[in-house]
Amino acid sequence: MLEYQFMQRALLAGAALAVALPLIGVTLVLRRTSMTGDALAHCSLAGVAGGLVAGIDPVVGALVACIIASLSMEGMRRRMPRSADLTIAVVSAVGAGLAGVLSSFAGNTRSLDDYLFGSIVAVSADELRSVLVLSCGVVAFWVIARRALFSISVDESMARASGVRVAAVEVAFALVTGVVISISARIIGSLVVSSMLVIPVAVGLQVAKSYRATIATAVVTSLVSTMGGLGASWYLALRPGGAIVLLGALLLCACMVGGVISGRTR
Amino acid sequence: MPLISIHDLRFSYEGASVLDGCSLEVGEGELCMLVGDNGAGKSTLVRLVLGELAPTGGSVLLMGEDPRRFRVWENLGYVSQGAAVRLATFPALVEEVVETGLHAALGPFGRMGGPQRALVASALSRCGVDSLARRPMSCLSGGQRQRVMLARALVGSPRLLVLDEPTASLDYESSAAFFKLVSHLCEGRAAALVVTHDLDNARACAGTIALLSQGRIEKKVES
Repeated sequence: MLEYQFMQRALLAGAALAVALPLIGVTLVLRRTSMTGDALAHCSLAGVAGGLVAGIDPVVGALVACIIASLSMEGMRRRMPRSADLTIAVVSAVGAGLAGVLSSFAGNTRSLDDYLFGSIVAVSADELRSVLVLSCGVVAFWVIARRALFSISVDESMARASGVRVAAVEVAFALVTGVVISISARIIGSLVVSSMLVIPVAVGLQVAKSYRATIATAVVTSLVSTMGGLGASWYLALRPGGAIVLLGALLLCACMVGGVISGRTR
Repeated sequence: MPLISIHDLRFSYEGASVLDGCSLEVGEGELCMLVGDNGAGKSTLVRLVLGELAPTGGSVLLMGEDPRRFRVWENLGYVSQGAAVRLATFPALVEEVVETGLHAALGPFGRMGGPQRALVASALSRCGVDSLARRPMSCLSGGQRQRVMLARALVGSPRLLVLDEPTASLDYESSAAFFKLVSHLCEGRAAALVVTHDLDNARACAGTIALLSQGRIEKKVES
């Protein structure tokens, strides 16, 4: 498997995303906005369809749609701070509706299929470079903002009163989330990206007691499920995206069963 | 200069008046208990003091500054209503939670070095929970979690503590112990504005009690 360049690129892109996505996912999960990835993935499809209709690069269309949707969600959440789940549902519905309407005007829907299911084993050298740069950017953002993101996840008011510029951090986080999901959806598929954001974090919450250990466990789980899923897709002729998600879900089940057996619950 | 100076403060939610001519001062080293019925506007007053809300009229100053432009957050320690309850399901160790109180001092690039760890240990020790530093928040009792939140507020050695109903989920004994601790910590060190429904325990603390009613401070008495 490793002698093929396309698999080398797939493994590298997968590893980079496997590190970046849980860093975003942990904040989404702790703020009880786990479905954000799903909503933005729907919007990325609308962006792809919009790009096809407007005659611009579908990747740019997805990027613009995800950034607008992510910032809109953040704006709505501030207007309705106790209804964060509602804002996610609204954006998700609008994204799905737009994708449905716009796709009927788009001639060749191949790009839409690519975004739905992803094509990690068809990643080009240029796309790999984009993914590596993106992942480095996410890691850098997380290193700078990790303390602020943790504080905001605990309590926004207390974070503000301890010197965190809550509004600026939240807007920056929304921007980064939008960019990450639009690019990741192209590589691993919009149906899969949401799972890669939250399943590794769910495993982290099952086994770890501290914030740092939760993040470390999530990243390791994400790497294991991505590498294992790609391996399984190669040897068992499965779709890579589905294999990655199912392996992650399997790890989560194993942790939950292990927790029940050992008498530990979360 | 008073640490909190509120003069003729007015605030309305969608036209409904909550505060109407409220005036209050909290001076250096003063322990002020803010009491009042549900819906009297106590938490709204705290949010105005912290600059989260803008007054409809009147003025509020935090250490001499408009709270919305206040930047010296290391001088303030705050515990919000319900934070301790929320943390019961949070994947974090006690020391990780207390560390977040040092954000203003550390900034985004600061490292948790020896001096910062000493501050965390000292704050936990002052609140009597130093033995819990490596315990997960989910394994603590309600009273222990409140003490951890207090340690978080104290870790930067602030001049002013603002505690919004810190004993709301505690039984009478735990509440009394918590107030005693706050009273002891404030002696000669920091001022505190404590929102509470627990009038009995508030009376037992050496300080002042301000009664918020009908949108204004009805009276302020020595306890």
